Amino acid sequence: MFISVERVEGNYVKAVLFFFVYFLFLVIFVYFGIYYLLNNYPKMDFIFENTVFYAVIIGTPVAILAGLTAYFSKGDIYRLIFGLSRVGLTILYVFMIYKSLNIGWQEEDIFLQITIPTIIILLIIGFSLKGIYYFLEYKIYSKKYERHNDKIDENEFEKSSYY
Amino acid sequence: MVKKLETFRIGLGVYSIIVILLLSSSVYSFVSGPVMNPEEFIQVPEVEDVEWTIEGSTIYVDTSLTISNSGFFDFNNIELDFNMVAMNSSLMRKTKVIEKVPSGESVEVPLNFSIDYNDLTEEEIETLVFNQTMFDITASFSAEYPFSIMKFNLNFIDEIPWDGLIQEMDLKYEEAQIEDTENGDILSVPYEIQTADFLSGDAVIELIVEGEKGEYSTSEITIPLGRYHSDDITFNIGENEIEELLTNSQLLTVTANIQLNENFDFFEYITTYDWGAPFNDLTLDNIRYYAGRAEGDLSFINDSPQKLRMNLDIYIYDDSDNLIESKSISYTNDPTYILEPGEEFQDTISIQLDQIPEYAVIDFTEVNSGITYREVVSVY
Repeated sequence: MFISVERVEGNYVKAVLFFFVYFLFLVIFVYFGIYYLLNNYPKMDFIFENTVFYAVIIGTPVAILAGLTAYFSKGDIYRLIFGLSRVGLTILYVFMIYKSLNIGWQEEDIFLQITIPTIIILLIIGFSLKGIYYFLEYKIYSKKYERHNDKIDENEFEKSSYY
Repeated sequence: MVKKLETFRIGLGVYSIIVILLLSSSVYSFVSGPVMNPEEFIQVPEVEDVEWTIEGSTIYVDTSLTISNSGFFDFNNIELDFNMVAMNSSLMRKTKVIEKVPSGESVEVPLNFSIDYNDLTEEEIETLVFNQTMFDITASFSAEYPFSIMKFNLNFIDEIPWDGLIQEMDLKYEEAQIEDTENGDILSVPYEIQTADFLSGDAVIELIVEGEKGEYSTSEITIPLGRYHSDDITFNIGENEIEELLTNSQLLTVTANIQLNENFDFFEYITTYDWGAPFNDLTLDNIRYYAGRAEGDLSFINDSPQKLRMNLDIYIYDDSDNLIESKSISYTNDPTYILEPGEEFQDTISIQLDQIPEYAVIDFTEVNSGITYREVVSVY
């Protein structure tokens, strides 16, 4: 597998793409999903309490941070900072969305209440691992860049000495 | 190191996919099952699914509910907590634990409970025997998908109607009749009774009729249980009581003491009825002898719910108890002697006499029943 260690300039296309993908999943899908459900099953309205509000308020910064993370190259300190911030904010996003859901169902004589503790734990574990990934990515790639830069510096020095 | 990092990243991607698949499949499984079709998910017993039996002093209720799992995952650690409430008190509390309901299968959960007559208050017994009520089953159902992916709690209320042990008991006072029989005068009251179909054998009912002048009569009947039954109750009525019932409209109280079987005490069932006397407020007034003629003013109201056909026989006696004159008036000759319910009768009865009268004996005969009421009055 060929892995480039060359530091590249900021990638706008990738940043915009990531922003939209995250915005689509975290805000737009949530908004229209709830809109669709409430239109078709009005009884479900008690389930969602400020869910759209949290999706917009926290989901939008997460999408911006995803775009910013994608903009910077691997090994860049900003990618690490934005990446970790995004992970932290995504955990907050999941937590707040979960808290805003009164997941249940109420019929005339039936009341159903649902909790999804394991799924939430699995998601938080996943995001934490992603945070660890960003940290490792920074450690590995920044060292490679340093070595790469040192090598370039040495070559340039040798060249200038020769001339 | 870079390769290891990439492997880690791929692993993270796989992990994310697994979590998303778990989440979406369990949500879909759950939404398509318990959420969208809660009635299919838990099938609570219908009226016809409830079997009532009675043994000794205990009423047994047998029914069941069915839990259907149409989702992808098994339901585990199912706990059902039932609370049966009737007549404002909790009659039963039970917890059932079911290990699992496999995916695509149904499990029937039997619900058996019993009510001992001896544990109930008098008010509760009366409700159970004579009244319709509801047995409210409040159930809390909790279960989880494997690895606690999703836990849920379902609360539901089911109502099992109770129609009473004696579902209908009607004494048809409006069709009650006083009759003159070989064994004396009787008050005959048609009745109908419907008892719960899970009862069997015979029940003994003791009845007491009371009116303004105290106890008028008692009677005892035996009725078959578990079905509809109708017949007449007959009360032997004494002379004084007959007079009361013929001439005095009053509130009658009938107390029925019912024993369903030897393990049950007597249940008391009391009804009252505004008895309408056929000769209510009977008044023979201003009876006089004047210019060879005896006269008297007669009035009463037919307070009974039935048309009254009356015959009047008047016998005039002298002071030596010799019959000196008599007269009969029949409804067949005089239509004013036919009275609709509630109609008032007023007439002056007059008899031509050759001798001086001392007293008169007047027989009022109610033709329908054959009952005769006799009034003896002095003539002045």
